[in-house]
Amino acid sequence: MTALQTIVALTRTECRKLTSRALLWAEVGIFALIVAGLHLALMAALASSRQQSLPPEALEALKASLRWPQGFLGGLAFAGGSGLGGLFAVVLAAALTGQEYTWRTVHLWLSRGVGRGAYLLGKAAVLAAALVVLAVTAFAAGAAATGIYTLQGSGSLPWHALPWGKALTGIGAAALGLAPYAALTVLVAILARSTLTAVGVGLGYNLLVENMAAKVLLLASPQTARFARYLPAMAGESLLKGIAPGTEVSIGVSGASGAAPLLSPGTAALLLAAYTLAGLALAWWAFQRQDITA
Amino acid sequence: MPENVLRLSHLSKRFKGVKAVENLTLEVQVGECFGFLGPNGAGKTTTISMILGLLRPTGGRVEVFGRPVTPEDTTPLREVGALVGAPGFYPYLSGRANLRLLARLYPTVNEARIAAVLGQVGLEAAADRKAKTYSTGMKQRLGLAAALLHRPRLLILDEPTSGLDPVGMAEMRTLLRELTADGVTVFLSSHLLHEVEQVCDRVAVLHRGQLLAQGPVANLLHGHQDLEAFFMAAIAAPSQQ
Repeated sequence: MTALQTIVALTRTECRKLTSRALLWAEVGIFALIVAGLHLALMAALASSRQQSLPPEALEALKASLRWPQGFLGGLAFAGGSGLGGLFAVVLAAALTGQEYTWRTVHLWLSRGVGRGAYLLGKAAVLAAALVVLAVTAFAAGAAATGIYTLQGSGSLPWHALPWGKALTGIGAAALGLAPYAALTVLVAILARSTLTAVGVGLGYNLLVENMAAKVLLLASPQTARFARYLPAMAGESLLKGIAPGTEVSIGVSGASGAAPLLSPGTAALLLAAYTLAGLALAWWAFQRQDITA
Repeated sequence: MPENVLRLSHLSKRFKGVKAVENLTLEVQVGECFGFLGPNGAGKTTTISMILGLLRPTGGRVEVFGRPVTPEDTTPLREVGALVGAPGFYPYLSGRANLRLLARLYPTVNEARIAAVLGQVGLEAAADRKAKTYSTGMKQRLGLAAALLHRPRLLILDEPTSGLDPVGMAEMRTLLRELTADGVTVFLSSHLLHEVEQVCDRVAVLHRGQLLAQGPVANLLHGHQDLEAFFMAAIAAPSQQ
């Protein structure tokens, strides 16, 4: 087998390992339920009498943001790194990498002539595909919920007006936004050889460190607020809003970028790719030097 | 002159200053069954882990089929089957599905071969059960099936009878004899000296990371009742020094 054939075989193996696990499908199911559920909850709230106190224009704008075509991309806002997508990506990356140590399966592959670089490359390729699955899940759940709302309101669906191109690029952007968190988690899982530590550090960074850093930078001064744009979460938000504007009117849980000017989509994409590659390069470096004890 | 399948040259490993293996040199020749003996903590598993590229030696060199093995380049291990410690598997997959995953690395391994190795280790009846339901002995059998899957030329076994009942141990002994008869070289690490005496041609004794003795079993037994007596004398000697 050539090196390329080995990498292809390992990628297929990783794919089989991931799709055979209940974890992936549980994450997809829970993520879809949460995204659709939150959309439906907001729709129900809009229909309640209390919301009638809003100015009619504001109420109509809010309803329009939840209807097709405007609300078609709304689910993608949940796929952001600082949102639910980030949490699911961290858990998935930690399980995919850390449990190979717990189950001693990393020994199984490396002791039969599989190169460490090829092993990690196969894992990274499948993890990237899994991030796309998470982004598609958020998009599809949001689109389904807003589709139902549209159908209830107007009796038909404006298929011709749907931004399919933006949906595709938005899914790619959301997956890229998740990638730095997945790469960081893979790095920690390798260093700690533990799924739990990787989940803890990944979620801790996502929920505490980055959120806190963003808030401090945003509140300290206009100068420091500019630095906040370069954090992965804000870069992900810049990218998503830049190429799929429909996501900004959604009910996303991120939205920390209010006070900071956004990066251009190109810069944001490059920055996210750089964070991801840096994380994976460090993971590769650590893995190459690691003693895999029995 | 016999061909060397495995050669360790001045191999050493330290963990945070503690010597686990020191200046170990030995050769395993094609077609032989080589016993690797030593008490707990002697450095046997550390040595095997270095052979398999899992641990980076502090010094020295490992060669398999005449080619160096390092953590960066383990290519020669493609013709090696190994069972080290408690074998690892994906618990949510069946025994057969675990072997199918590994088979993707070997274009010549097909369903028939998977069925054959499962039969060889006596696991055909439980092949479609999830690995997490297996007993320790069954996991050990699955580990052996994984090691044999691609018809390796060199088989490295670290305590392969661990967790096996007496019937399983006898089956393992028969299997090792069959494999060596088929030309497979076996490097066998074990505490069970009686087993080693019955199946191995040559042995090496490791104690506190150092090689105390190596040679044909018949030569080492000279002046000793059995391998156990030789082993006890060998490891007692450095302690008395």
